[in-house]
Amino acid sequence: MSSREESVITPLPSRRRFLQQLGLGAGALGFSMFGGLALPQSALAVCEPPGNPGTAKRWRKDCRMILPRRPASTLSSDELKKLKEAYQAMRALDTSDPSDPRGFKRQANIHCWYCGEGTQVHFSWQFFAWHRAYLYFHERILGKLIGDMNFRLPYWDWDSPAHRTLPAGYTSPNDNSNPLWNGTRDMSPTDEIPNEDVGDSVMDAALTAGTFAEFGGTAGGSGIPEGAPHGSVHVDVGGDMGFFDSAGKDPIFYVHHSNVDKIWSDWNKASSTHTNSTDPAFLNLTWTFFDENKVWRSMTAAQVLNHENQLRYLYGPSKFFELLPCLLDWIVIRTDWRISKTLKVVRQTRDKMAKVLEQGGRARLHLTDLSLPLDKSAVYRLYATPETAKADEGPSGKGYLGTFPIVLNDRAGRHTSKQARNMVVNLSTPMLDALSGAQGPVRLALVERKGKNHNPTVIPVRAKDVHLTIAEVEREDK
Amino acid sequence: MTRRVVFLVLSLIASLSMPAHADEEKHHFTVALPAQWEDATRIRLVLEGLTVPGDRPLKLRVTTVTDEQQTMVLGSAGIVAERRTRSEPQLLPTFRIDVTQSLKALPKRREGEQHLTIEIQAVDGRNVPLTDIDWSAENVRLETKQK
Repeated sequence: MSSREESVITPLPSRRRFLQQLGLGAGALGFSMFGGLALPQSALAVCEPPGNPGTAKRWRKDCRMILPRRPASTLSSDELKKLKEAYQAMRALDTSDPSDPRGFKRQANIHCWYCGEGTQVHFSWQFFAWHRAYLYFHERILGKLIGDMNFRLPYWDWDSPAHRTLPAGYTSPNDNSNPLWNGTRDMSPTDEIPNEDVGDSVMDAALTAGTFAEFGGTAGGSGIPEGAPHGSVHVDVGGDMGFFDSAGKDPIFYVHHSNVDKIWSDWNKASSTHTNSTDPAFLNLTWTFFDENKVWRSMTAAQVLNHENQLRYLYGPSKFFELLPCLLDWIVIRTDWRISKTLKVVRQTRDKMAKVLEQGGRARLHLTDLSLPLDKSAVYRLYATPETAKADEGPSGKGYLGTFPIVLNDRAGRHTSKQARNMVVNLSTPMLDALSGAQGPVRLALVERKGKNHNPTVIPVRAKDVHLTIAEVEREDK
Repeated sequence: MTRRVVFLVLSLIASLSMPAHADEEKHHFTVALPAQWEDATRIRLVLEGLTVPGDRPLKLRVTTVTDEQQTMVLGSAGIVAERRTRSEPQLLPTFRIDVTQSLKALPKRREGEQHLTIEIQAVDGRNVPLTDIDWSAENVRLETKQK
C-alpha cells in the first residue's frame, strides 16, 4: 500500500481506543480480523534505518539565493500549486522507486528513525538543530523534484490568531487527491488550535527564555518551547502527527516545524543575549541525511545556527518583537531646509501626518549629516525651537524631539569616524504640534544634556538636509 | 554570559505525587509558592520523573480552582507519543510548563499563603480529558527566575 493509499483510510480514534482497551498489540492490528476495520498503515510502519550508504560526505556550503520562507496563508495560487506538485512528486517516488531516499515515505521515516528507533533527537538540545537540518534537506529535495531550487518551505504561523486552523492548502481538497492531505488527522479543517496552546502567553514564555538551555535545552533535557507550543500542536493535529514514528507522514509536519524553526530564529533575534550554546558537545553534534541528489551528507549543529547565511533562507519579522504595525511604504516629504535652514510644515502636510499618526502609522523627522561638537562624548537634545531648547524641559517638556549621542572613540578624545551623523526622530502627535510652526518657520536647536539647573548653550541645528517621512499602516479594511 | 543569569529556584518543596487511578481524571498537587514569586520574570511548573504512555499523544493541562470556585487554566504542554505500537511508557526526566502569566493573573491571593493547589489532567488535542490512561510524576514543583 502506498502512502497515498494509506491516507484514504478514515481515522477512527474511538476504534483505536477500543482496540487499546482490548489490549491488542501491534500484531493483532495487522490482521483484517475486524473485516472493514482498518487502521492507518502508519500504525504498522516499519521504522527503517536510512540504509548503509557508506561514509557520508560533509555538507559544506549552499550558494542559493537567500529567500524567505513565508506563512502558508500568504502563498499565491501559483505557489500553492508548486508546493502541491513538489509533494506529489515526492509521493510518486514511493511507488516508482521505493528505494529512492527522496521519496515521501523515506523522508517521513527519517523522523521515525531519529526519534526513538535509532536515536532520539527530542527532549534535548538536539531538538531545534536537528529539525532545522532535516527540513533543510527536505526543502532542497522538494525544490529539486520540481526543478526550482528557489523553492522554500512555507510555515504555519499558528501563533497568529487568524491562522489557527490548518492552512487551507492542506485541507482543500480534503481528500487523497490533495498531496498535502493526511487522512489520520484528528483536527478537522474548521477546528482551531486552542489559544492556550499557542497564544501570546505561550509565545511570550518561549521567546523570553533567558538562556539557550532554557530555550533549546541541554544535553539531557528539553527547552520550554518543545512542550508548548511545539508538542501541543502535534497533539492538537493528532493522527500521525501525534506520534514520533509517524509525524513525518503528515505534510503538515513540515510547515509546523518550519514555524518552530522560526521561533528559534525569533528567539535569537529577540535579544543580543539570546545566543546559542557554544559547548563543543553541542556544536559538533552530527547527523546524516540524503540530499536532493541522493548524496549521503553529514551536517553538524554548528552548520545550521545561522539559517540565513548558511542555509539560505530567512523569515519575516516577528510580530512579538518588531512592534511596528504593518506599515506601507515610507513616503518622503521634502522641505526647503537646504535653502532656508528652517523647517516649514504646511498645514496640509501637517494634517496628513496627524491623520497617519492617529491611524497607527508612523511619521519621522530626518536630519542628514548633522554637525555637532566633537570635542567630547555627550548627549544632545533636539528641540523644535531655540526657546524650547533654552528651557530644556526634557523628554516630557515643550518642544522636545529626541536625543543624539556623540561617543568618542577613546579616552584620548579621538573621534575617527568619518561617517555622516544622521538623526531620525519618531514623531508623536505633540512633537508634530511642536513642528507646526504656528509662529513661523521652525528653527531646530540642540542643547547638551546636563544635570538640572544648568544654563544650556543653545546650538542651532546645522544639517545638510532635513526632511520628513510618513508610513501609513495597513488596515484590514483596505 | 549565560552563566550570569541566575536561575533561582527559591523553593523546591514538592508535594505528593499521586499515582494515577483509572477512575480519577485529575491529579491533584499542592505546590509551594516560591518566595517573591509575584516579582519573578518566569514561573514554571516542573514535573520530574514524568511517566506517560508511549502510545498516546497527550497534553498535560494545569488548572487551579480559585476561592470563587472558578477553574483557571494555568498552562498546558503537549507530549508526542513515541509510536502507536509501543507498550512501554515514555519517561521524561523533567518537563516544564510555563505558568508565568496565568499565575500572575490569578485573583490576589490571601496574605501569607504559601501553597497552591493545582490539578493536572491529561487531555487530547481538543482538550477532552483522557480518562483511560496512566501517567505519573515523581515530583512536581514551581521554579522561578528572578530579574
